Amino acid sequence: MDATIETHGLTRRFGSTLAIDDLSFRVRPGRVTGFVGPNGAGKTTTLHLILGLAAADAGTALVAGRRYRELSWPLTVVGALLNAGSIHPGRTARDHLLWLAQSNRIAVGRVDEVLRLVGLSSAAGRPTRGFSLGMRQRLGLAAALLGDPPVLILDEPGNGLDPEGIQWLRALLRSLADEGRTVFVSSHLMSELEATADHVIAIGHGRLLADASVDELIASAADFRTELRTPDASGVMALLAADGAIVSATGRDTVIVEGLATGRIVELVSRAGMTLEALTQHGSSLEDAYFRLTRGTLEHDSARLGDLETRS
Amino acid sequence: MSAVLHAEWTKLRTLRGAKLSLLCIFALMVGLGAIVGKLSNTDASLAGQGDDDVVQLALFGVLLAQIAAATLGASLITPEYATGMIRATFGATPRRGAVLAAKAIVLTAATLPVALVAAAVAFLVAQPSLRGAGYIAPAYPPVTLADLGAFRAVAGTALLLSAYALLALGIGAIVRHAGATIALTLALLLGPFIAHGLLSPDVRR
Repeated sequence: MDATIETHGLTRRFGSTLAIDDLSFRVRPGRVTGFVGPNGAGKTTTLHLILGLAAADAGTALVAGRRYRELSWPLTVVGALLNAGSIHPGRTARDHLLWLAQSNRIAVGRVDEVLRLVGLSSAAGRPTRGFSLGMRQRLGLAAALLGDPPVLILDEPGNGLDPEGIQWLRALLRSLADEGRTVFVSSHLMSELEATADHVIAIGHGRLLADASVDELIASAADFRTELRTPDASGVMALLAADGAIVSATGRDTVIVEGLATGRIVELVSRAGMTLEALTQHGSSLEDAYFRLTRGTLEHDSARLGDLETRS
Repeated sequence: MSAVLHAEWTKLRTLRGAKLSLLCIFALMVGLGAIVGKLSNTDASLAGQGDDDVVQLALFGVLLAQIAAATLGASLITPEYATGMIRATFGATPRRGAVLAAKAIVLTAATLPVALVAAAVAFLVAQPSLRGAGYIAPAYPPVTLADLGAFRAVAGTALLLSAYALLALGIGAIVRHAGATIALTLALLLGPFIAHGLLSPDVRR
């Protein structure tokens, strides 16, 4: 079975707003794929469309080559963690997993197995009413793993986990991907994914912003912003601007350079015989890459907000 | 279908509210049956032949038990919408019609036997109570469950309670909110009685 997740031209409207706009991507097995975007970008809506919980206005979403609603025992193909509220508070953790197992003819012995795997064995007989957010999140993960599925779709799985829990989650996601599974993890925090994901799909306003490996994204952001200290600020600014950089002075002798590789800056300045007292490179994390990606959509938001303010 | 039935049965079995509602159906039927004699005045002394329906009196707990039945039906579906658990349900069984059918079957399987026993016990415990209130021969000859009319009334009461529970389940699937579901179900149950009371006797005929 080809355990990929694929969307083709996926589109979903809510009233007059286009929540998901012609979204096409492919999530491959054997690696952790992060799904990122600012709040409201359409991540959860996309996941609901993939899981058949909402209907697309156009386009298709396929899991393992089929529409979710056509799967006969979906929990054995796709394990999903949606937000942690999807549990009846009066039922015990074990009973919650029990009915899920029965609904898909999964061996009942699997219930205690996954409870042990997520570290909830001792709380299994307690109603989930008394569970912390972190415990509910672990129970949600147990439910996702119940059918031993080749595809996992996890919406913000790190929510509510303590630092130790986050470490545990990273190791778990890593080992699931290493077993050859497709692991698709949404997050609005890029830093959370940096240590885990191999690949990133980024969306903003329901449109695809990036579909690239983490290494590529970090490389693209590495020369994002460089801070220079030089006694000849105006000379350096003119020089670099002539080479296509965006420059701005932040102090009497400090300059911020955008859009020019650090190596190129050093080359130009030294060839012109100017002095550099310090050089600090910003933007070598996935988070910076992410900000650069989403900047366009955020600026769009503030521009619109400005419109409204001037009109009112 | 059997998998989703199995799952829905487990859900019902592990839902405290559902078990309490079933207990309420039994307690209201039997409890009110047991004290019916204290609440009614016989007309037996007035004439040789009484015109009270002693079978109906014995089962008058159904008026309150129907509220418990409506609550039971609603409790199988509205909390799933309130907690978001419905997404887990439809994620596990994307055929939504099958989920609703399974809920209807397990609901009937739980309600019908409980309601049947409750109605039969209510009928039995009401007999000494009614005799104590003066419902005695010759105006009111003894009635037993072996009498066809009494048996039909008891079975009919159980079917009626099951139907009310199903009605609430159906309304709950549409409105997806506990309060609205119970209010609408009760409005449908009590509406005819209220309308009947408001109409003038001429129109009633």
